[in-house]
This record gives sequence, structure tokens and C-alpha cells, in this order.
Amino acid sequence: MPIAEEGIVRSELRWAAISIGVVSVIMLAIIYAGLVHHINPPSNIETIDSKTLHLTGEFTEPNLGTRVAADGQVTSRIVATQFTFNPRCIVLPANRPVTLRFATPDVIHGILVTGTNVNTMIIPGYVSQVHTVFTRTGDLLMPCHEYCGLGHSEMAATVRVVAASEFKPDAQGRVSCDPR
Amino acid sequence: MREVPRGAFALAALTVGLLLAGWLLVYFFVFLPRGMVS
Repeated sequence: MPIAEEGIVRSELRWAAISIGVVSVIMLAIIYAGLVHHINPPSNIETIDSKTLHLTGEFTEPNLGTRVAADGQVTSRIVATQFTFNPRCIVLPANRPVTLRFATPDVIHGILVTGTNVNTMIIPGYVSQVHTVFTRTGDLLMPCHEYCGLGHSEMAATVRVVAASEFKPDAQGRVSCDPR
Repeated sequence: MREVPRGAFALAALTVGLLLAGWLLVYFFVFLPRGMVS
């Protein structure tokens, strides 16, 4: 092999090593986040009939919003629809595991909760589920982040994270933004 | 190395290094503090 060509091969190999090193660092960081900090992509696979979700099952109107189960599990159910969320405001406690469940009767939507890692698509025919722990209290914006039609920019909800002392479920275990 | 100037290596290493540093800054100071999700 000519000397010049040898030099090129050496430099190519050096760059390959650097590239592998960079990818390895990023992969290790992702594995570390998953194993140590429990930050994983939401990967719930659960189907639902979009045509009847408002008539029967867990996404009927009385079941929407935040509810505390008998075992203390906090779950919030939200329907994303063109061009609003139902309910438009949910209350959740800080520093406690909560589950968000979403479904849509129409088109593909997506949500994120600002300042947190909560981020998921909402696909017709499926239930999107996210487990998280909110650490800061306050009103967090939850906009639709997947273009869903002409009213997309108006589609947003509020996630009201309150301290444990202010999180007061009623007799049915429900908690809502509007005092009843 | 005469075929590949040292300056090109330095420039490439600097830009890749800056990119990785930016990624790590966001990872440690934005992504991890935002908390668990699954």
C-alpha cells in the first residue's frame, strides 16, 4: 500500500473510532437514564374502540379527570378531540406516582406537559398511558403537539400540580379544578 | 497525514466535540432533572 493511502486509511480508522466512541457515550447515557432514573419512552399497547369510547367504558364523561383508586393510585383520564381536551384542566398531586391515560375519538393528537418529560402521541384506536411523578407545583401547560386540524393551535389543557396537603379527593375519589 | 491536513482534523474534532458537549449539557441539565416517565 502506498504511503499516502496508508495515511488516509489510518485517519479513516481514527474517525471510525471517534464515531463509535460518541455513539457509545450517548447509548450509555440513555441506558443510565432508563435504569437509574426510570426515564423510558411510554410504551403502552392497549386498544380501544374510537367509535364508542364516549358511550361505554373508562372514557365516558363521568370517568374523565383525576380519580384516586381505593389502593391510592392516582389516575387521570383525558379525551383529546378536535380541538379541545376533556377535561381542559386536571389536578394532580406533587411527589406521588400518577398515571395519565389518553384516548381520542377522531384524529392523531399528541401531548406534552411543559417542563417535564411527559410526552406522548394519542392515536385513534389506542390508549396512551404515561406514568410520572411531578416534582414542582403550579399550573403546567399541556398543548396538543401534533397538528390535528385548523383549530390545533387553540388546543391546550392545564395540568395543575398541587402539594399533597392541597390534594383533596371527594367521596368518590375525584379531584377537579373547579370547586363543586 | 500529508493527504489529510491536520487543520481539517482539528476543525472536525472541535465541531463534533461541541455537538457532543451540547447534547450532554441538555441531557444533564434539562432531561434528567425533568424526572421519571414511563
